[in-house]
Amino acid sequence: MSGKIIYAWIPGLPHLLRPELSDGYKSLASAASEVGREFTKLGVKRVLYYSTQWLSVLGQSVQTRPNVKGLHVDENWYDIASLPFDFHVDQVLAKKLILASEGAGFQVRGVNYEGFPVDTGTIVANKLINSANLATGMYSSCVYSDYQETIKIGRLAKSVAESMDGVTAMVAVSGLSGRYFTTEIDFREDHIRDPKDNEWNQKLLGAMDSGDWVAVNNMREQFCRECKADVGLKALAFLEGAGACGAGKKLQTKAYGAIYGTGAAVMLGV
Amino acid sequence: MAAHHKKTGSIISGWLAPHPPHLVYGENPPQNEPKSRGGWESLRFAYDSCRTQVKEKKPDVIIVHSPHWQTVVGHHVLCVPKLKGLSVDPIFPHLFRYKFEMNVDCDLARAIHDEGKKSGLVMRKMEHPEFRVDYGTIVTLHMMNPDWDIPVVAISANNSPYFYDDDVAQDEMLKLGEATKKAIEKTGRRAILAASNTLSHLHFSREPNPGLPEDMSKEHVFSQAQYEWDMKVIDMLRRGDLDAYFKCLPAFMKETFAEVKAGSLTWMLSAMGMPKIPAKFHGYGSVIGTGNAVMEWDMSAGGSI
Repeated sequence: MSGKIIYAWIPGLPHLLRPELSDGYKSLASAASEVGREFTKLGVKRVLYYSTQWLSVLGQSVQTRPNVKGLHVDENWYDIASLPFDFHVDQVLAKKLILASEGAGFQVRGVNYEGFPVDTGTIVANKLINSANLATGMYSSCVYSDYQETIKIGRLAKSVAESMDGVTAMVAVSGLSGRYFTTEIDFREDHIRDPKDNEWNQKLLGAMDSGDWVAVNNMREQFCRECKADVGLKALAFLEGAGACGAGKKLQTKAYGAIYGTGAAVMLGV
Repeated sequence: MAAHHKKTGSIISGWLAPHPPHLVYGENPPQNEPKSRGGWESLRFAYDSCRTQVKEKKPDVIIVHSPHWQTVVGHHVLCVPKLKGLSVDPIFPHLFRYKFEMNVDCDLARAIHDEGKKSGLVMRKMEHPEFRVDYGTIVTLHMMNPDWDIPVVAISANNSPYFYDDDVAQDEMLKLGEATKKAIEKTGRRAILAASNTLSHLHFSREPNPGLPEDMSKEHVFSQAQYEWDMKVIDMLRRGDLDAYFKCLPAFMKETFAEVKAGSLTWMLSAMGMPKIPAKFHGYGSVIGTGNAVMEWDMSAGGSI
């Protein structure tokens, strides 16, 4: 079996669920919904999330609970949106991810607990792109897995997706520049906090958009240092391992903007 | 004119009260679903004195500052009269699935919020009734008072030091401590404070025995260097030498990734007026390699409030 894979990058802050707050949020949310419609057109059967907001510490974690349901209230943005969630987890995908991770030498834990706090990023992304309530998978972002190790995780996720029937969407949920405003702002005036961050974000997006992966790799470490990149851009490492960044591949920017000063982009792999 | 003799509040004591969920897991209280064969006794038993003190002193409130309620915009205080629910630790869900129920002293929470704002801090009141309280807050409060029969106030950790640099938030924690002190005085509360901080915080990256997390034959300090740092800091605190402590704090944070970076201990010492009194040491232990100490500042022994 050789299942097909498509790729996307979605921001994971709850502001996108309140598009009336700013034109920027509206534009990002609208682009994410468009990615969801593209998934439908392409016959996506399941969505595998790698969110940099689901952190693990002692090894890797994979969500295995068949139906993960509840209400999440973000610890910081609790007054922006309450986040009800109802995920149907693809059991075959989860089992295969665990087996493949063990096979690759990772310590991995299946997570199957009532009340488990699914992270804000995964919930926000799922609400925006998965209105059809497709089956899902979730793989944690281990604090101690560096960029290279995260590429390996992406690689094993790719092999799992290829071993399954139909199309799997690999969705990285993360941000770009990570410099938040630390005071109250008027959402209508939200913008990238530091103009240099804005330049870096655009440079990186430009390279990804044109599929210039040499340029991306050359600027990555400096990007992380200069603009406090969200979790060291490990979302990109996951997508790279999963096959989104090879020759002839591109991550096309569908929207770019600011969320509370940080850089946010919606990207679709082609 | 009617005379109002509102009693001025005071801080009874402050506790360095670390929060590894392993401590609750090792104790097997009815609120926590996972069950263990024990473990981490040297730390768990260190909390016995604290529990006794809480019962004897009968404070009006316990105020906790937790690094695991991380906020980006300002300092937040729980401000819902009664909070209950299931708190599952996203990092250690196999150890900590705790049914919590707590009464929040909202008058004091509002006073802390207001005093913080007056001192120029960004402050927020968390008023969402379905908020899931973080495991740092719950573990510390459980270990101090498992009966939960005393109202609480919980304060978030603004994570500026992780985004910017160590100095930014330590300054803010001094202000937050002073604001907390004023709020306690104005509301007339007799308060016990809790700094929910581990000391050295480098730890294992794999679970030593996934089949038996409480396998104490696998528990040990992360490194000799980290252990020596912890002992150095504990000794300074035992001698009441806060000048030496604050002088070495940046190096301690840098070299051991010390969780005091989140500001809880600085907040508490500031609230207590930087008391140069010997802190009483109740116990030390490692949890997945991190260094944890339970220590007490008894303000009846001579503090500034």
